[in-house]
Amino acid sequence: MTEKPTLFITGSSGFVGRVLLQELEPKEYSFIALLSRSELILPENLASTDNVTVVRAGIEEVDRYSQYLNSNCRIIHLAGLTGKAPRADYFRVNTDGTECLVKAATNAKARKFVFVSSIAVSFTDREGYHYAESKQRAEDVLSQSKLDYCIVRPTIILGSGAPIWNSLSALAKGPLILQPGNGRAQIQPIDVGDLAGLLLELQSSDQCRNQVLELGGPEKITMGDFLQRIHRAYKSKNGLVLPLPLGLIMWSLRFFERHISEGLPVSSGQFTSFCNDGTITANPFILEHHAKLKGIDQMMTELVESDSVTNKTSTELECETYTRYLSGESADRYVVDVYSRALESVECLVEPTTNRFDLLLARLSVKHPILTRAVDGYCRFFYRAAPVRKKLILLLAILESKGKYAEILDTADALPRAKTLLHVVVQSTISVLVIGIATLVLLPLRRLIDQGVVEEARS
Amino acid sequence: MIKGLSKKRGLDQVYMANFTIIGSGASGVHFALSVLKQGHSVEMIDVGWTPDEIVNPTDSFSDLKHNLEDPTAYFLGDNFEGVLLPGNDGEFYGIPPSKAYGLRSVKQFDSITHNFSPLVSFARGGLAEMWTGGCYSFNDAELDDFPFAYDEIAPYYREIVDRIGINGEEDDLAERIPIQMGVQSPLRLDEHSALLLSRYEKKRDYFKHQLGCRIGRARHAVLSQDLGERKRCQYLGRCLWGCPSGSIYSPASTLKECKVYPEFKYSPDRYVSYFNYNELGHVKSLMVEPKGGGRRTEVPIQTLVLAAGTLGTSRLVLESVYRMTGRIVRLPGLMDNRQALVPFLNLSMLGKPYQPNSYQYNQLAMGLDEVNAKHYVHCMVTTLKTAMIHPVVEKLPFDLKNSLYLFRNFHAALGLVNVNFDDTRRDDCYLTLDPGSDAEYPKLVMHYSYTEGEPKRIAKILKRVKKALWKLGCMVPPGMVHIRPMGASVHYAGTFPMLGQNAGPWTSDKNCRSNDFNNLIFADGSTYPFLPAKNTTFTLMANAARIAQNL
Repeated sequence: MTEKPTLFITGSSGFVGRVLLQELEPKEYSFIALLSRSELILPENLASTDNVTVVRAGIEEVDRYSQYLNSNCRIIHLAGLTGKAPRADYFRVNTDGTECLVKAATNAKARKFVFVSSIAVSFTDREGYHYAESKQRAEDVLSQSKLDYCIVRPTIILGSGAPIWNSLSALAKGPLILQPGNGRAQIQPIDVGDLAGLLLELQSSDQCRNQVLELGGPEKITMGDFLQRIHRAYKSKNGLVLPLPLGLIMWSLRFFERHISEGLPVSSGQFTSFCNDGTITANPFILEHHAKLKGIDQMMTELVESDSVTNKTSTELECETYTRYLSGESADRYVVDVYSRALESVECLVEPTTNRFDLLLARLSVKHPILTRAVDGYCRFFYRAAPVRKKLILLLAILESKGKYAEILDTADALPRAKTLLHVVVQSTISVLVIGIATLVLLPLRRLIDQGVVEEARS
Repeated sequence: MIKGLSKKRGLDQVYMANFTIIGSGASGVHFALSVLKQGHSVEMIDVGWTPDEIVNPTDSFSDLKHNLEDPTAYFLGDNFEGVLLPGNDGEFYGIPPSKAYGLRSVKQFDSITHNFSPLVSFARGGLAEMWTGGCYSFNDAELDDFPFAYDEIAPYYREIVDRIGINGEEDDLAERIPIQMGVQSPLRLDEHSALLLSRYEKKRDYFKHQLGCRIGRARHAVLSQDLGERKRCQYLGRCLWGCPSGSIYSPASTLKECKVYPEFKYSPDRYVSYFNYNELGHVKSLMVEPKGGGRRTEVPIQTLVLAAGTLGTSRLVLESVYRMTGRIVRLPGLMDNRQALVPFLNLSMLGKPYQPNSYQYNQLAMGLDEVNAKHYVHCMVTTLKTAMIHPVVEKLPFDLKNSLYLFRNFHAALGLVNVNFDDTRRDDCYLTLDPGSDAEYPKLVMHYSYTEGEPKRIAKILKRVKKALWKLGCMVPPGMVHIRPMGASVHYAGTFPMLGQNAGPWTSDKNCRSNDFNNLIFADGSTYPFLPAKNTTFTLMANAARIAQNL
């Protein structure tokens, strides 16, 4: 009887990792080790088994997980730094981290190594896209190793809670569709569940050995059409498109990124999907599976339904927006629950405000983290005891009590002193500008509202 | 029947100890231990709120945030009482829920205050359950108004060092703060504190001779070596939330030691309303009720020792006089250390990671000389390690996004100097009683008046503190200095000063025996005739041991 393999997964608490864990059948493995830097809540299929262990460590902390690597081990390497981060962090996590894992796997003579890279590696224009560069280098490290590997480059991955879906729907859900560039770049979205299934199949079989596979869904679509479809899904009609000057945006961002990265709301790299085709080069493996994968309509229907099924209460939406503003992360279930409970417990916040200006601030602040910042900045100087600011402080206290968020909120960037000082100056300048603009808008508004209230009272 | 306790006729099942002590705080337990060692019997009556069980005792501050199932319940409390929302009067930290028992009150106690914000404890161990462990002996100048000099109390300081374990070092501060034999080696310095100390050492002459300023290692009742059942500091960063290894001294550990003696009886859950005395000024019995309220019972006593803290002790005397005679007495001389908090920023530490696994409270102390040596200014220099960050972030003059960015990159560079000023007894600072309409529980009235010259003196001292910080490479952000309200230091003293045997009413003799009641001893800070700037607890404990020895 063949000995069951062991499985080692990195990035288990990430967007793909969480779905992949739900698809796992623990009986197929003698042992499963899940590496996660942040807290990991096991799904039901894994929670009750005794052959699953969670290793709370970073990928560079080889000593803490090397014991789980062996010659019968299959590895799915999902961990990576995405979104907006300083250049050095991308290379530290995505390249150096992968190198650490590859070395440890080589030493252990691991049986299979599936590395999830990104379609961005195949973009023709990657200038300033440090994420893609770091993934490219990580691919190089793996391909030069003696391991039996498979490199996977997924396209845009969709699914409930997908970071890219949150960003794109934010652009498309409003009265106008905000479209960076001409919208002609093509994408080929893949469902996160489909991708998880493909990854599990790749790690368990001997197919596609030492290959780079691009994985995408069965349909291609232009970015412009995709944004339009999102708009239609939410508004039931086509939307008016407001093109944003992509070249100017990217040039400006690159200019500022040379000096700072913190505090900019987005990075230039995040816009590369609007000027590069994110489609795959067909390969036998994906063609074999395309018929079974979800199409764009199905994915979108599920996403929109999921949004409405989620049926977020105003408190949940508020918590979500404020958490993103404070930590840059989504609010997890624990935070939402505690925040909701806190609003019912803290005396000065129990009674809903009836003050019209307070209501305006509340409505504005939940629209987008940038507006939260503007409202918060205004309140800091002109209305410190505003309910909005009290709620933000309350949420901050909750976030700093919880490990994952506490680390984000209270870990220094560890940059040289001169660079830190420069960042401080730039950040504070941005802050002052935001506060200034917010004040110019909100101060007169407050007066108008106060006068209105007075007149109403008189009448 | 407890050995050594004698039965009193007429009061069934009630026994009298040689000494009945009210309160289990630092002075009460050390008085008790001293007299127990002499073979006397002791009964200690106490409300005695106790803490919850220590959670995850081997986890560090950061581990708790990851490992606790509901970390907000621990850090913020079930009702989020640990959150400091905007408008918190400039305090930089709140009382952690795990320490809330230390300030839990009882329904019988109420107060009316004027220019005074008191903190009163009914906890087992008293206010020292929440202290930062500072142990600084008074010198001759500071004891000038006391009826004894340093040499006379020095053996008792030494005794306390042996009992509770104090760490410190023979450094520049020793010229102003006598150091005792037997102190343990100091705790491991955090990087920021070490940097400040090395800068001071390089400019020592300037500091000492130009600024009249000395900096050295703090002296703490914190173990750097194991002592009995208590373990040395594990550097878990949980000091403020409750030391899980017991390395920070708590009177509860001395109470435990007392309980070993068969002649000791601890009676918790009881609130002493007042005492009965006769026309000769002899205290006969206590009127005691359950801490939650209920029927009063009479407890006979031989010698009464009041160790309930200046406010508690004074309330008891005031209420007793009121009950017995209907008189409302005024006790002048209420003192407390004025405190000013001076946050600072050390640019050399900018961008560095902070060290959560270190001793959290101040590791350095600073002293400023004054022309009259008794007015020496004592400062505790704390570099910021583990703490809840939202109260600080909220105060920064930016939106929270930027404030958080600044904070996390400045965290290791931040610090706070807690500047303590001495206080003198004055007639217009007093305690009295307001029976109000509800005679069941009269209210304690606390009245504090500022001296005219105080703002000027504070400004002058703060200027020197800022200059010293500047020389250490630190800057003080404008507008961030906070003058704490009177009462915040919880070093209350002065209502029954030890002025000698014939010093008049509401005073005590050299050995803290009341001049009004012939079998009443004050064992707490109420007997201080002057309040030096240094933390008082070490002297409270030493003085309690001294008066117990001199019985």
